[in-house]
Amino acid sequence: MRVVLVVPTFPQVSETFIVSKFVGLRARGWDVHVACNASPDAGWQSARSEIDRAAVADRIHVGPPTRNRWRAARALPGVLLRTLRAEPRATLTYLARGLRRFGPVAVWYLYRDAHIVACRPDVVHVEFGALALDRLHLPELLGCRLTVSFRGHDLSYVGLEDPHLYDALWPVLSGIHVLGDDLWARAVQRGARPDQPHVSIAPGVDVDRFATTRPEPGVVGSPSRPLRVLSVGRLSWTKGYEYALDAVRRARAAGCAVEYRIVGEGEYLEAICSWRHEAGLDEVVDLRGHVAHDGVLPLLAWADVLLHASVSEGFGNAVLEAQASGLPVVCSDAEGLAENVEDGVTGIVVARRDGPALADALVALARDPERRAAMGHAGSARAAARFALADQLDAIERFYRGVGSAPAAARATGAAPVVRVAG
Amino acid sequence: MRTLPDLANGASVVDDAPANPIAADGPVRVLVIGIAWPPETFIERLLDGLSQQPRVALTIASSRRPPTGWLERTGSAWLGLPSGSRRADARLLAPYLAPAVRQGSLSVDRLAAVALGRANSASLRGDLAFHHLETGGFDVAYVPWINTLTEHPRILDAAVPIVTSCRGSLITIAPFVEGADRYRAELATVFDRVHAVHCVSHAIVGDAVALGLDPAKATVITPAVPAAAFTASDHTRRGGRLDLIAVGSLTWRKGYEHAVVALADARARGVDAHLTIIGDGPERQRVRYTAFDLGVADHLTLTGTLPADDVARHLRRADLFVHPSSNEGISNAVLEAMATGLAVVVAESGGMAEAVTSGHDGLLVPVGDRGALADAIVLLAADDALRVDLGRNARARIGRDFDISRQIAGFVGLFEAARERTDR
Repeated sequence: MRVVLVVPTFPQVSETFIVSKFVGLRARGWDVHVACNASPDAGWQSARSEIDRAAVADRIHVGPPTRNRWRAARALPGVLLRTLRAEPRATLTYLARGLRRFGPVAVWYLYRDAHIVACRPDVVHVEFGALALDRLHLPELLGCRLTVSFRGHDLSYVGLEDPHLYDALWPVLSGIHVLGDDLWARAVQRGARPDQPHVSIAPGVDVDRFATTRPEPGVVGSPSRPLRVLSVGRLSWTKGYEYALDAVRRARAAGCAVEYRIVGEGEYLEAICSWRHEAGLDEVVDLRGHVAHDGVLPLLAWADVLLHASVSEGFGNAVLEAQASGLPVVCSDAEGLAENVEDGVTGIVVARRDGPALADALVALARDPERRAAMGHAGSARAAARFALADQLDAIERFYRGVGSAPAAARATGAAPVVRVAG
Repeated sequence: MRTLPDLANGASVVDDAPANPIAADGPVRVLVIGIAWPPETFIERLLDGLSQQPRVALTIASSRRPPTGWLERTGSAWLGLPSGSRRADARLLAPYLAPAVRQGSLSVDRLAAVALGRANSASLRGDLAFHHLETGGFDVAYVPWINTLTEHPRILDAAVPIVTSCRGSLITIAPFVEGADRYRAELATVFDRVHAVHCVSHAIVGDAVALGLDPAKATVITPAVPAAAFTASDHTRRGGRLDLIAVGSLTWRKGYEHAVVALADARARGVDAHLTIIGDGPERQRVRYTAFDLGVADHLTLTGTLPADDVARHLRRADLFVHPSSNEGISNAVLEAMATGLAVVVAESGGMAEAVTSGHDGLLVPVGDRGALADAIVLLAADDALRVDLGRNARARIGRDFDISRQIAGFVGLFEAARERTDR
């Protein structure tokens, strides 16, 4: 069975989970390919410790240009001819069905899907839910099965203004992967049939890579040894930094000295700097900007607690990695976080958008070194027991086997697929 | 005269402006540098108002030429500034080249850098503005956005006295963003070299002084609205629903997440409230998500940006204006709501306390305190008499303290004082 993973960019620095899924499946003998729209050298460079470019070159298929109409128009004849020559039957079937079903625009679909058609996939797996809206027609035109991963944003806040955004998608899916049960509830809220085939597979983490020994400094939060708080995550509204900064301000007001480092970059830099200043935290909060994956390890070892105040979070890889490294977590209950962290055992989970509750949790942990240590141990045990990469791969394999043996989903009906010519 | 919070920073207040400004020969010739065209509503109102003053003669220096109709109606003149478009700028600069080089306004090496494509022609903006000032016979330069001066310090070299403005995020946010050390240094230089600094609130005087402004240079002239142009409404409630309204771009500064949380909180406490937000911006997704997450998506309307007439109509129909913003000078949106006689609940950021006296002409709540915001909504939902009273007092307050005529008079006084100071 040939599985094609569809992503916008491969390898992508912030999407190491896709790289490890591809590498893991391949190591286990799966005929797995990647279809993407860009495959930049920089991505390969930063992922070089995880993936050997030369060894997988024939499995990475970069699609033709679609954003620039002129370039697309120039490339179209050549792309169609090459696809026809490589896979004449699949191409002609696609085109015949497509023209009958959608009219001339099917030629554009074929162009856009050319790299996928050339793979002759049994399963096309779109790694982000909203992207699948461009591929609704594949099961019908290519005779393959379509599956999709929802990772948070695509169910939580993408396209909320359109209550029917996913209506045409649900019926054509042969399988749905979500990161957690809370996300599945959101999927149902947004129109998925509750009895639809789906699996909940949490992200995996390379436990050995994050194993850390940290000194036990005893009670912290004094001016000479402040509580060391770390956050790792994009500077965006979803991460709730407003509440994290409020919590740090309140913890300090309660007499607990804090040193707070934030790793990440993003469009909320200005907002975060402004809140930092308004809260009088200019000297307390250190914005580290982008830090390479390896660079996070020493910061995990430095910290006493990971603070993750998200208002929306698919699952929270940073939180998972913190647990694997034995760091206690203080986090909100946004979506997958409450499934990620075991409240009271590997960390403290509070309501989202609640600065005071986050502050109470920080202060409590600062004053209780035994509890911090116990939570750290429980965190690395939980990561190993529940989120090991090997177990995640087992679950993914079971998912594709199930998809392969089940009957194909209903053919697309009614609604025409989404056309996005100009990206 | 109303009393304003005394910040003991020595800033003069528009209320104390001399009743009889120094009489001088003819109108003050003011060159306004660095506005976009069309400008923000409040800048356009200010320019319109100033142009009607016989004591002021306006010239606009901007990249885009104001429409001929506007120039004729206001009797203003226009001088061009480079826009960054090479062809247009070559045409614009041609007549100035020889005199400007002779005068020393345009240095030959900078021109060469532009000609060779090493620099953008927009980098000559400051040089040409300087040239206009040096040769145009102006009494005063007014630079409404202070970053024009930090980006084009050449303007500061002109012999003409320069007046600039401290408003909003250029003072309260930009200096504190990571890596803004250079901007802070540039601000300090600007404060040092300009003649006078207009501040939109007393709060922002404090912020600017912390950044190096000599308080003696500061003059507070608050934002203002044409009070008479706003039709009052009695804002009686139709039916049981409480219609909340907020106006302003959907950006993080406006703190709309707090408004949505407060909406959900008030609804949970039995108030049938509905929130309409007028404006657009990058936070649209966040605001929608928050409503979805809290189960109030059906009680939130996002209209997007609307024309001024539609905004006014929405304001007249609403029951309560909410403004959870975490960063303001004095918000024009709040002043406009007050002008229609609408009760306002406002987060106490920046200079907002200078416009709203809590319990008298509105309610103030601490920034980021959505509990207090919800309390205020619940209170005013239950107490219609208080809500109507606050609105009535708000309208009176705007007519008395925030009418555009006061603002115009303040600026005329500021410009005349600047001219007088250099005449001496």
